[in-house]
Amino acid sequence: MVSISKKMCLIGDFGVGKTSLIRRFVDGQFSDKYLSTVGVKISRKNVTVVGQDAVSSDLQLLIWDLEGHTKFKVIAPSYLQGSKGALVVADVSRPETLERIIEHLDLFFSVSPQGCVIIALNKIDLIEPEKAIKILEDSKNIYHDQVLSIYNTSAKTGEEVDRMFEELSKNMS
Amino acid sequence: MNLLFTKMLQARGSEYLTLNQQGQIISVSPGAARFGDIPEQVVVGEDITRGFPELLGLEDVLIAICAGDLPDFSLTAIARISADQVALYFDIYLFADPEVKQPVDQLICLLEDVTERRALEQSLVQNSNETNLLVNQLRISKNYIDQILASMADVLIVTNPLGQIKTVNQAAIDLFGYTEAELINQSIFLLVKDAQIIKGKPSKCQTKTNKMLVISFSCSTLETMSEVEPNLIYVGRNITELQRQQQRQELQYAIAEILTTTNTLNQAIPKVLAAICHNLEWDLGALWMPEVTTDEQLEIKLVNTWCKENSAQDHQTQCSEIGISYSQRLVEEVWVSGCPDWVIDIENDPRFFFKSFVDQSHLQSAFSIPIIGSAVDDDLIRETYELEVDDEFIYSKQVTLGVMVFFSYKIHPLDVDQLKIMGAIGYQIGQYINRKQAELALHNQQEKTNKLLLNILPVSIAARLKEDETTIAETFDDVTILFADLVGFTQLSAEISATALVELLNQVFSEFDRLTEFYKLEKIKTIGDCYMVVGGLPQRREDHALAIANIALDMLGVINNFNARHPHRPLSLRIGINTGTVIAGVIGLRKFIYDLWGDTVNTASRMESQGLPDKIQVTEATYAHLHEHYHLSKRGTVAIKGKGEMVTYFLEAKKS
Repeated sequence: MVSISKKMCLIGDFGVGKTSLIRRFVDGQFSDKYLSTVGVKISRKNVTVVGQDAVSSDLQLLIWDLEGHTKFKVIAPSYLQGSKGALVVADVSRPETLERIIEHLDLFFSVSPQGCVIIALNKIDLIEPEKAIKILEDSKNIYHDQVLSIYNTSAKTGEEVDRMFEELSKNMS
Repeated sequence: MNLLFTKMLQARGSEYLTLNQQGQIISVSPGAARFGDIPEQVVVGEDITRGFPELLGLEDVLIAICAGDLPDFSLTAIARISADQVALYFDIYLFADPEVKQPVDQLICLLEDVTERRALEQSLVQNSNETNLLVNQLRISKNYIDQILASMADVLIVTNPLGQIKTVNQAAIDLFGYTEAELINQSIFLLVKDAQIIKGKPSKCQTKTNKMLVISFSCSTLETMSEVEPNLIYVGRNITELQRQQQRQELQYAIAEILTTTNTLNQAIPKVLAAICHNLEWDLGALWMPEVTTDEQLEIKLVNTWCKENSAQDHQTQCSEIGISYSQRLVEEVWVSGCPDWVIDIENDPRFFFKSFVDQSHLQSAFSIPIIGSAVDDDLIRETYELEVDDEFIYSKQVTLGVMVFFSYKIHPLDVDQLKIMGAIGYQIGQYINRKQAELALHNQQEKTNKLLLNILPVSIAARLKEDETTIAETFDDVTILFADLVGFTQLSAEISATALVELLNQVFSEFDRLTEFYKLEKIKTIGDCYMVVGGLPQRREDHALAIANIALDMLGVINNFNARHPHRPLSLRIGINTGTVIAGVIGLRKFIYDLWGDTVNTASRMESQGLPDKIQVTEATYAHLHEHYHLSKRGTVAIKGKGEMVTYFLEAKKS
C-alpha cells in the first residue's frame, strides 16, 4: 500500500501529445488517432524512486492530463493548484507550440513557484535527427535556468518517456 | 445540513459530500459514490482524496474556505473513463455551509454531472483542433511546395486553358525579367514567341529586355476540381546556351564540309555565307575582297552577297546596295586592322553614315570578320615546288585576303564566343583561298611543263613517259624518213657571226617546224644544219611517204622564197628520203629525246649526203610509194657507202 501520492500536470498546446505521453508511460501504449482531451483526466502510476540518500521509496503519481491550450480556451490555473511538478509539452513539428512554452512555464510558476518542471519536446520521430538536436540545443539555451531538464521525446517510439517521468518524480517534493 | 438545501440539490440531480477541514468525509449523498475514482472509498470517515484524488494537494484551499478566506473553489470537467470507455464528466464545487457562521469545520463538496455538456464540448473541440491541425499541415505543405517552386532552377508557368498565366515561380521571374504582377493574367505568348508550344521542342522566348532565349518546355495538365477544363503546367529549361553551342559546332562542321567539297572560291562563298547566316541567325551576308584597280591601287570590292529567303522582296535588290555602300567603312576598317568588329546598333554607329539607308533597311546589328591568309605569289609557289624552300619562309606573311560582313534585322548583343568562332572560320577560309591559289599556280606550272615536254617528245610518247615507262623502244615497219641539209652552211659560218648564223638557221628551221606541224609529221631533231623529220610514227599512217614528199617539195619552196628575200646570200638545200623499218624510242636518263635507229635511217642520211643541191633524192623503196602520184626521174646507180650500189631517183613534182 503506497501512502505517498504526488500530483503532476502536463501542460501544453492542443495536439502536442500530452495524453499520448501519459498513455505511453502509464499503459505502455500508443495510438496515432487524435482524441482531444476536455477538462482534466487523472491517471495514477506507482513508481519507486531512489532518493539522494540512496533510500528507495514507493510513490503514487497522480498525473493530470489537462485540456490543451487553444486560441479559444486557456488552461485554468485552478487545475495546477497543489501540483509539485509539471511537464511542459511541445510538438517539434509545429514551431508555434515551441514558441508558447514560455507562456506555459509562466502559468505554472505563477501557481506553483516552487514546483519543478521538465520540458518535453515531443514527436521527434517526425523530424530529421539533426533538426531535433538543433531544437534541443536552442531550447536549452533559452530555458536551462528555469527547468530541471529538457528532453527530446516520442510517445510513438517511447524514446526518453520513462526517463523523463522518473526524473520528474524523483525531484518532486 | 439544512433539509431545504438538501431537497433542492436532490431536485437538481446533484450529489454532495460534506467534509471537515482535514478532508474527512462527514456525510455522503446517496449517489455521490458514482463520481468517485474508487467508489468504495467514498464513505463517511474516509479521506476525501482516496475517492477523489483531484483534491490531493488542496489542503490549504480547504482550510481557507473554512476560515472564510476563500468563498469557494471549483474544479470543472473532471473525467472518469470507465473500463468500457464510457466517459463521465463532473464538476466539483467546494464551499462552506451558508447556514453556519464562519469559521466552521464543515465544507460542502458539490458534485454535478456535466457529461452531456462536456461530451458535446469534446466533439466541438475535437473538430476545431483537427481543423486547426489540418490547416497547419496545409500551410506547411504549401510552404514546402512554394519553397520547391522557388528553388527550382527550371521555369514553371501555370496557365488556364486560355493560356493566361496563373502562377509563375522565381526562376521564371528571374529569367524573363518581369515581376510576378506583370505576368499574372497575361498570355503566355507574352513570353513565348512561337505560334505554339510543342512539348520537347525548343521554343523561342523573349525577355522584358527583348533578349531572345531558347527554352525547352514540358507541358502537363493540372486537374482541379473547380474548373471544367484543366490548367496547364509548363516546366521550361533554358537551353539557349546549349543550343548556341550546338549551332556553333554545326556551323563549323558545315564550313569544313563546304570547304572540302567545293572546287573554287566562287562555289564555296555563297554556301559559306548561307551557312553562317542560317546557323547564327543573321539575315544578310556579304564577302568583300581586294582587287587591283585600273590605276594599280588595291581596293576592297564586293564579291558576293547572300540574304535570307523570307526577307522582303525589295531586300533582295537592296542586298547588293547594302553590300556596296552600306558597310564599306566598316569593311575597310576590318580589312586594314585585320580584327573582327561587332556593331550592336547600326543606327548609332558613325561608320554607317547613310542614314536614309538605315531607316529604310531596318537593319539593326552587324558584325564583320577578316579572312586571314598568307601573302602568296606565283613566283614563290614556283620556287617552292622546284627548290623546296622552307614553307615557313613563304607562308610567314599574314594578310587580310577578304572581309565578311553580316547584318540582322534584330539587335544582336555582342557575343564574344561567336566572334572567336567566326575568327577561326575566317582563318579556315583564308587557308582555303591559299590552297586554291597554290593549286592554281601548280596547275599553271604543270601546263607549262607539259608544253615543254611535248616540244621534245611526241604526245603519245610523252604520255607513256609520264606513266613511268623508263625505256620506250618500238619497231615501225613502214615509215619514211627525210634529211634536209643546208648546203654550204659550214662555209657560211666562216663568213657571218655565230649569232647571225643561228638567227638564220632559226628562221629556216622555224618554217620547217610549221610545215611539220601542218603535215602532222614528227620532227626528230636537228643536227647542226641538218633537219630530220619522219612520217608514219609514232602514229602509223598509210600516206607517210606522200606526206614526206609534200614536205620535201615545200621545203625547197621555203628556200626559194628565202633566197628571193635575201638575194645576196642564196641558200640551197639537199634532201634525202628513204622508206623502211625503224626502231623508235627514248633512251637514257637525262635530256632524253625521241630518236630513230636502224639501217633505214642510215640510208636516208646517205640519200641526203650523196644527193645534189636543190634536189630530193629518194631510194627505190620510197619510189615505190610515190611514183603513182609524183613525177620522179631516175638518177641511176649510185655507190652508197656501206650499202654498195643503189638505184636512186629525184623527186621532181606532184602529178597534177
